[in-house]
Amino acid sequence: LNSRIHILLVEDDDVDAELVTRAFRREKIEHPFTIVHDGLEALDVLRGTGGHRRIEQPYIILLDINMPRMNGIEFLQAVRMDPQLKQSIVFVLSTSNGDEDRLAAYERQVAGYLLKANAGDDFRHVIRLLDIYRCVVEFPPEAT
Amino acid sequence: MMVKGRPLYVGAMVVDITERKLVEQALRSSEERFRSTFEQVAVGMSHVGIDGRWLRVNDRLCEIVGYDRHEMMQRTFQSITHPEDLAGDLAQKERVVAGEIDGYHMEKRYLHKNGSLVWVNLTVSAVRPPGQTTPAYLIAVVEDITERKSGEIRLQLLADLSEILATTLGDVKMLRSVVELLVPRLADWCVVNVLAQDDFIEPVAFTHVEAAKTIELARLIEERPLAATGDDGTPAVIRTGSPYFAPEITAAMIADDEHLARLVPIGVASMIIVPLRIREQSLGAITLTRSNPNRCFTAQDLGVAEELARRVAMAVDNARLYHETRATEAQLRQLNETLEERVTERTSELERSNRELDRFAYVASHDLKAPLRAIENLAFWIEEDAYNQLPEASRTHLHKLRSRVRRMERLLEDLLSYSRAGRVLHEPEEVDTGALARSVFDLLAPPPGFTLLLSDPMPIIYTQRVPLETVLRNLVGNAIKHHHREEGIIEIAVLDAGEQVEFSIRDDGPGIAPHYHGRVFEMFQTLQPRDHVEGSGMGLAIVKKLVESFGGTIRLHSVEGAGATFCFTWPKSKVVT
Repeated sequence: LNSRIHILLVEDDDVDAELVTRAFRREKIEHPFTIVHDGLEALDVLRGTGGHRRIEQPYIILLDINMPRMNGIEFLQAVRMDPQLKQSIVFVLSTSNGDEDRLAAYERQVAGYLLKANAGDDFRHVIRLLDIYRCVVEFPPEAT
Repeated sequence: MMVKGRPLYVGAMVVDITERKLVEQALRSSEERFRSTFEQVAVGMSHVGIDGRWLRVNDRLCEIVGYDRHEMMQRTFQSITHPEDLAGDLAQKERVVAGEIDGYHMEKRYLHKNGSLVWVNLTVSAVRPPGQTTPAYLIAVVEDITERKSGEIRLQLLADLSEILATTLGDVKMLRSVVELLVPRLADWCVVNVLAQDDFIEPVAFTHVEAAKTIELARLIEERPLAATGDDGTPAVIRTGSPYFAPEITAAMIADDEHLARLVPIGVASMIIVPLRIREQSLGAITLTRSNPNRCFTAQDLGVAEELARRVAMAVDNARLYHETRATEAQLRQLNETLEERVTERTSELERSNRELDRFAYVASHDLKAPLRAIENLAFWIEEDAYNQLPEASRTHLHKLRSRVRRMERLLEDLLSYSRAGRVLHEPEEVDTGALARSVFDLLAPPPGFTLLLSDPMPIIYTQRVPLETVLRNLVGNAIKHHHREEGIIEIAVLDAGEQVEFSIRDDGPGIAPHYHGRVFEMFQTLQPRDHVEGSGMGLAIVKKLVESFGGTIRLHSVEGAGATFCFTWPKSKVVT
């Protein structure tokens, strides 16, 4: 079942998105993968609104902080307010290691706050963590 | 006896009249003595009928009241007594006439023939025929006490003035009270002029003993304002500070002086102008004038006028000082408030600009770093995917590309640290300076040839660890990084300096030429090409900013070729050991 876990990457930078997809590919981890470019688009995908197909549970959201229209923190806010989405597992994947962002993210119950490292070995740890996470961690039940 | 025409006898009666003659003689001489005493005493003497008619007056009395003997005989004492004193005099006289008392004594005023007042000391006694109650006449002894009395009056005037000065502020209201006091007691009319700003003479208080003439005086004053440069009385007195004294203003003087001529309608017979002068400075002048030529000012009057002007000037000056002090205080208070407001404004401005800088640093670190990271990643992927296909030169270029990207990342990192230096607060804790220095040195992973020497003792201080660690890391790091040999000695010492400790970090490296000493603490300054020694040029700028944000100072001692010593002070709130 867990191998079918959907990964929703919310990232406005194409190179950063490729960094993630390349890393997954190199680790030979195959997952349904959706990339959206900001918080609003991510909400559409999660709710099946705005002409998007709804992503089904189980899924993990990889969230960038700085994005146009709706940034990562605003997106987290919206998710936690939404009864259908509030149980979502979200990892923040950001270049910012500022205290404010970390605090704001953890206050909105993120599963982890990961720093985008440069391409190469460092990022492999992040991918492996996510892989182990999806294997080991029991996911929340489908919201009713 | 006569018989047939012939004397029969001469009867002689001898009466001894020796005694009578003697008595007559005695009487005559007594009368003469009396007359001579009566005439020659230095006091005025008179016999007065009980109806008040003068029966007999001596020359001195005539002199006192200004009438000759003949004129006196046509008058009564009532007619030349000041109306205000008459009732008291008459009442006493009636008691004498009624036999209640034998005499009385009083001070009273006569009206001199010339209209002036004469103060006298009057002693009255009754001459009663034996066995009768009603006196035959009264003897009055009159002593001229005008001199003493006017001295008393002057003293009383000064006393009353003191009262006014003590109870009112030295403002226009006070000056009006002064004028009311002086008229009519010292003068018939009076003007107080003060020197206003811009050398303008302002009549602030004036009055005339006659209400109608006060109006006339007002008109005269308004008609021609005094110019401070004028050469007539008041301006000259104000300028020179010397009083003007014209005891008798003559027709000739009036003819000569247009200013005096204007004053004729309100009466100008005698004039004193005294300056209101204090601390070598004239504040104004008081003009005192008498209209009655028979009551001219005397030298004594001038003395009194000067004295009262001196006192008034002091009161005016005190009031000015008081107001100035108050105004200064108010100004100071306002200045303080403004200053506080400004400080508050500046502080909030500063806070805002700090927040903006923070925001900028954040945006810079994120937004500038993001594309850098993308470049780095893309370069990496090119290397990863196509390294073997690339010519040697392109491989080197790719390598340099990535190293420049990393350099720029460090610059941005350091810029962020700089902007945050000293603004992130940490909890103070016990910091063992020896252990801290050791760990900083070890974490920098210096080449094996480097040695750290610590002075003894290295105190344990109570301070914020993180910023101190940052400072030490930068200084020790520089000492290692910029060393010209493979081995080196770095010495760290800590001296207790009261509320602070002074750290010194000394190396045996190449040293820094004195003309670079100022520049090393500036941002983005490096003394070597970055390709030789990697560095953003921010390290010492961050160090300086941190040290200064903790109220300390940093100095560099170095000559080229003989190592460098950085000394900085750091607060220690308390030394634990």
